Amino acid sequence: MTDSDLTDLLDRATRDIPDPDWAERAWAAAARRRRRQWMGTAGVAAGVAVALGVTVVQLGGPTASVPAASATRSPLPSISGGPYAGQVALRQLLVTADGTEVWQGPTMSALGALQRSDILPADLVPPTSGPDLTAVVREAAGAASALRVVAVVPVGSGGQTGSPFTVWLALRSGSASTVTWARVPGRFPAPNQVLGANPVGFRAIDPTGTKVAIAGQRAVSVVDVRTGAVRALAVPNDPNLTGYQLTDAGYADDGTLVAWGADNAFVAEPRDTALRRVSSGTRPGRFALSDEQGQPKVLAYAADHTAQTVTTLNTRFGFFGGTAEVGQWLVRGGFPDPSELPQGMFALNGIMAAATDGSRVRILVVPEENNDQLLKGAFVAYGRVPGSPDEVLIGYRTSSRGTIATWNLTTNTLGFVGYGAPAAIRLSTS
Amino acid sequence: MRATPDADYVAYVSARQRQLLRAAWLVCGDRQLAEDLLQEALVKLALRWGRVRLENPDAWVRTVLYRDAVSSWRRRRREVVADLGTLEPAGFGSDWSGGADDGSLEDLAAIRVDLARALDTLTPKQRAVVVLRYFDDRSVGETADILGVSEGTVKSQTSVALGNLRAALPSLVMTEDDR
Repeated sequence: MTDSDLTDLLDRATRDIPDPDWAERAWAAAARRRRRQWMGTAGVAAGVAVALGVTVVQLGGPTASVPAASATRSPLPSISGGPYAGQVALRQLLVTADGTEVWQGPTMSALGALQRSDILPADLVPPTSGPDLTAVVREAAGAASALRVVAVVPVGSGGQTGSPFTVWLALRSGSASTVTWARVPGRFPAPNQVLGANPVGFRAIDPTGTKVAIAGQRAVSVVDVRTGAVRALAVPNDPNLTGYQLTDAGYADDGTLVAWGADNAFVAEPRDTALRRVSSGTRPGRFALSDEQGQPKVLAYAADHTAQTVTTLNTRFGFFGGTAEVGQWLVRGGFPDPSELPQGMFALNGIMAAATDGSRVRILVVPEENNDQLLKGAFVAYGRVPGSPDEVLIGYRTSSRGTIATWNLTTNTLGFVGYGAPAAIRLSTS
Repeated sequence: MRATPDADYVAYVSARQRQLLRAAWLVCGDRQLAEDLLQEALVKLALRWGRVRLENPDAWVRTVLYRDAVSSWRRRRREVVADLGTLEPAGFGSDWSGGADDGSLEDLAAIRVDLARALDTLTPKQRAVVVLRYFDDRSVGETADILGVSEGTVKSQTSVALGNLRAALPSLVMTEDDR
C-alpha cells in the first residue's frame, strides 16, 4: 500500500458498498413522520381526505367536473348572508364522492368577526395565576347556588403526551353569566407516551357538572367541585396489570366513569373507591367513529360493551379526540391521509360528521392560516348544543389560540362562540 | 406532503445516495449506523424538500449527515469505550463483501481492517474532517461550513488526524501539503 494515498485508501475501502434505492423509503418515512406529528400533539393536526376521482361543485353555479390534479387554493367563502343572524352558511362544497361532502369553511379569524353566540363566556382562556379549587369552594360555600363545571382546561403539557400538566376549571354558580377560574391543586402526570392519549377527554365532566375525571398512569383522579376534594380511583391490584397504564377517561351519560388504555378498560360507579375491570372495548358513548389505517367506520357499543361495526365509510379520514353524539350524527375531529388527497390539493384541517347509519358523511375543513408548511390546527367535538338537536359545539385549536364554534348539521351553518381551547365543555347545568 | 416522492427528490437521491452512504460509513465505521444516518438525513431532506430543493440540497443533506454522524459516533464511542480493547474494527468486517472491482477480497478485507484501526485512533470530528477532505474532496472552507467549525479548526484537526493516521498506517506517506 505504499503507493496509495489516503484518498485512494478511502475509496477502495468503500468501493463495494451496495446502492439500494433510498428515495422511496425515505420519502415514505417522511410522510409517516409528518402524519405522526399531526396525530401526536393536541395542537397539531391536519385536514381531510376524500377518495380520488372527486367532483368539485360550486354552489350557486353550474356543476363542473374538475380534474383532481388541478385542485388548488379556492377563494374563501363569503361569511355574510347566513340563514341566522350571527351564523355563516357553508357555501363552498369542495368535493363530493360516494355520499361524502367536503365543505370548506371560513378561516377562524373570519369566523371570529361574526356576532358571537352567548351560550358560553366569550373567553375560556384560564388566567396565568389564580386561586386553587379549595379556596374557591370555600368562598362559594355560603352562596345559594352550588358550583358547576363549565370547562376544563389542561395547561402546561405543551400539547405533548408524557408531560405533567395542571388543570384549570371554569366554574359557574347558578345562572351566573360569568365563570370563576380555579386551579386543581397539584400537577398531573400524563398517562404515558402513547400517541392520541387524552388524559382529559371531552367527556371529562360528569353529567351533574360536579366532577371531573383526569386519567393518570395508574389511577383516575376525580375532582369534586362541591368539596374541592381530589380522590384517586386506582387500577385493580392484579398481577396481570403490573405496569399497566391508563390513557383516557370519561363519563358515560348515566354517570359511570369509564377509563381505558391499551387492551383494557375499567369502570367505577359514583360511590366506588376503585376502578373495576370490564370488557376491554368498554367506552362511555353508545357510538363512535373509528378508523383503521385511515379507513373510517361507525361503531356501536352493545349492552355487553362489545363494539360492533355498523358500517364502513367510503372515504379516507384519520381521527383523534373523542366522538360526540349529536342527534343522528356522530362528530369527530381528524386529519387526512395525505396519500388520498387529490394531487396538488393543499392540506386542511377537518372534522367529520357521519350519520349513525353511515348514510351521510359531511366533512368540514378550514384553510390554514399559517402558510409555512406546518399544519397547526386541530378540530375537536365537544357535544350537542342544548335546545338544538343537530347542532354541535366544536373547537379549533392551534398552538397559539383556540376558537369555539357551533356547527348546525341541519342548516350547515357555523356560529362563533368564543375563544379558548378547553379539553371539555359542559353547556347544560341539569 | 404528497405520498408519491417528488421526481426531483428521487433523481437527487438516486444520484447521491451511494456516495453519501460511503461517507457516512467512513465517518461512523458501522454499517447499520451509517444506513440509519443516511435514512434520517434523507427523511429530513424530504420533509424540507419544498424549500431545500431551491437552494443547495447537496450541501444541506451533507451538513445534516456529517453532523449527525459525528454526534452519533461520539455517543457510540462513549457507550463502548470500556470495551475498545477487545472490539473488532466496528463494521468494517464482512458486512459488505460484494467484491471489489480490483484486487482480491482478502486484499479488500485487509485494507478495511487497517483503515478501521487507523480511523479508530481519530476523534469523531477528525474522522469527519478526513472524510470530507480526502474522500469527498471538499475544500477547507467547505469542510468548515459543513461541520460548523472555523477553517482554522479544520486545518488543525486535519494536521492532527493525518499525524495519527501516519502513525497507524506507516505505509501511508501522504502529507497535508499534498492537498
